[in-house]
Amino acid sequence: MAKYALIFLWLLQTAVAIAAPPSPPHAVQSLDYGMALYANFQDQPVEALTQLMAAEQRGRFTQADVFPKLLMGNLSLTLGLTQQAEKIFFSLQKDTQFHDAVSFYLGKFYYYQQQPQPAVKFLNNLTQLNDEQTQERLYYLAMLAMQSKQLSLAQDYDAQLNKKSVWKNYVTHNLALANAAQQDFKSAHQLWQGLLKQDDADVELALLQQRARLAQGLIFLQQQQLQQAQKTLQALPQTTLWLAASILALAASEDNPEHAQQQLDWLQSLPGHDYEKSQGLQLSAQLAEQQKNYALAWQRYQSSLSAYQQQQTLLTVLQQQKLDEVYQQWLQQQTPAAISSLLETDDTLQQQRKQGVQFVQLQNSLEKNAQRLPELQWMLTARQQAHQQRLNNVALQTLQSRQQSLQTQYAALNNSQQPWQLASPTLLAQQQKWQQAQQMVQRNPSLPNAAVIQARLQRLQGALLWQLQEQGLVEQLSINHARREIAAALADNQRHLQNIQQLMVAAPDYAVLSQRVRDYQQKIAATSQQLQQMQTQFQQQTKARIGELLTQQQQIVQTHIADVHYQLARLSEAAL
Amino acid sequence: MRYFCLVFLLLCRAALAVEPAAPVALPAAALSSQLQDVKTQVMQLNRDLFLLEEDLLFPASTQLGIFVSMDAGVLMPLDAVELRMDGDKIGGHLYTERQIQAIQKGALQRVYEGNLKAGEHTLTVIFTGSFPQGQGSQDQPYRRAVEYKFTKATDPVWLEIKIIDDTKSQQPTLEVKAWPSTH
Repeated sequence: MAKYALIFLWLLQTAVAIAAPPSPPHAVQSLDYGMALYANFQDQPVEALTQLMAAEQRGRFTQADVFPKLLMGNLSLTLGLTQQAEKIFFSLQKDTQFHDAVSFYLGKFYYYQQQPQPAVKFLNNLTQLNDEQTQERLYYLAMLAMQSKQLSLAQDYDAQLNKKSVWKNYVTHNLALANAAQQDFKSAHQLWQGLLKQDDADVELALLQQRARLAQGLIFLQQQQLQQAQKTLQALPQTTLWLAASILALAASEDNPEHAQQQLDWLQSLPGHDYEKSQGLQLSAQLAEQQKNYALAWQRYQSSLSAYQQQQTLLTVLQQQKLDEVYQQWLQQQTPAAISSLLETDDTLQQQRKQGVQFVQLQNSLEKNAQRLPELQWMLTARQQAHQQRLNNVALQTLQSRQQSLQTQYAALNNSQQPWQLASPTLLAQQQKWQQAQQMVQRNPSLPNAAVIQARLQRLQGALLWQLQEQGLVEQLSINHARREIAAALADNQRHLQNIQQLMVAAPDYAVLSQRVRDYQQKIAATSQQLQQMQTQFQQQTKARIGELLTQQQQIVQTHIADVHYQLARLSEAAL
Repeated sequence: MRYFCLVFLLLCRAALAVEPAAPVALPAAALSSQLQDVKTQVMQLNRDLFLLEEDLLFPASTQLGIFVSMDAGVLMPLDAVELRMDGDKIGGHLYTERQIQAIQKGALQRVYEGNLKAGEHTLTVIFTGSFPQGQGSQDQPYRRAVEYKFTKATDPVWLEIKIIDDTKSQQPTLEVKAWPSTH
């Protein structure tokens, strides 16, 4: 029983969660957030987080944008960036408007950090959550209640969960396990029966139902309800992990040799499970011996010995020559059938595989990005050249000097609108003489005929102005025409210049972009190297664990071989 | 039988429990801390490349983004969308069930990102799909389109095509929303 308690304890510690994003407000408030949600709903957390981080870097979120930040925190938590998640959630804690949503994520954070007290504190008394969050919250609370052995409380949470919610199924299964661990098998079976009644069209539910059947089968087996156990186990797919071990246990528990042999035959029909099959052959031999069929017993012991020896050879080869290959196959969840039950049921390896997969994903992500850089660099160069070509074509300097020249001409024309600027050279010379005379009279006011001269000068001025007016009319027309032409040329030139300026302003700073690409290449190389070192370290640890398990298995198989040799010797001696 | 004991020793390691799609548990403390650092670095690199590509491939002066969103979206079962700019086909998309569900849940699909010259333009968006007609009957295909005229200046243009269920008429309607350049 203690062993079962161990299983159940272990099972209850196994958390279940699906990274549910915070539900968005009715209308999408930000393009970046909407796109990140889209990526997240496609199970692309890296892409979703990248989108949000880029938007944040560009300052496209305001202080009030709580939902994108909640999603960022949730994605960080999903990707194991717990420090980042913690920072984000705590930064949002002051926001009273979204208090419940923030508390929910903080509760979730602590749940996965295996800190039950703060988890319960944050998850309790939350009312302003959407449906999905409410279901998920009840799941965490139920799991926390089970961990603290408060099964009736967990039962209450289970009752509150929506029957169609995936969270409900997990709670039901785990609650059944918890009840079984408390020896309350009746409640456990009732809960499992409820789970098994559901339509298994959903893949996730079907897998959960397999686990429920296996757990039920094992309990029936432990309670010596062999028919029930067989019936339950027969409903499982043949590839289910632990099925072979369960059948072996079923056969071993059977008092009726014929029934036991039937179960062992069933075991032999399963694909893979070589170790359990060898044990089955050994058990079959024992059954034959019990029935005093020594020839058959001898034959089965020989078959079992042969099977064990094959395994021993295989284990030696795998350990000494193919450990790298085994590691890769295990990582890709393609562990050789002969050792699948050995590696697939090791808790340490189960956890390490997730890490191993993450290492590969991170490395792939870096490689993928590194591969894009040459293309970007090429595009950058091509664009820069095209941009330069466009600038060359429009001859900026020519336009600028033309603009300057036109402006000078225009200014001159404006000046020429001063009356005397329009005068002919002759008239201008007369005007200058008039001015000299005027100045002379002004300097010598005591001249005897000053008044007469002054009067004549006034008359002359009148004559000059009349002539000026005559000439000016003609000139003015011509000037106005020239002014209009130059103004049009100026405006045209100005437009060209503005276009070029826009082109220059709108074009990215190619030098800066090139530098960014170079920096990026260096950073990728440095990070990749760092990751490679960690990956090597991790691989060594994992391979050591695999090697350790293979050694243990070799020792177990060796014990079996020795045992079978002994049985054969004993039979041989008896025959003599 | 002693085999029974052996089997149950193995069963103690049994993986009966539900497989978590939970956050990745971290290994030993030292490796965990290092791994978080590297993960953070990788995410920052991803972000930087994202921004670099945005700057390089779609400069603000020519950038055009077209997005699809749904408000409910139950009245128009979506199969595909086609985009035309000034009469020329510029893109399209065939939807999976999962993508439609994502949009129905409030996500925004970027169906096109590209560059466009300054000036007057006309965008035509054509949605196609089929209305289910019940068992035994053939689905009724439909085609809905929306046209939108706009002027591209030097700011980026982001257009959201909204599929809205009009509860009164029980008909889907299409709207185009132009997002401000500082969204």
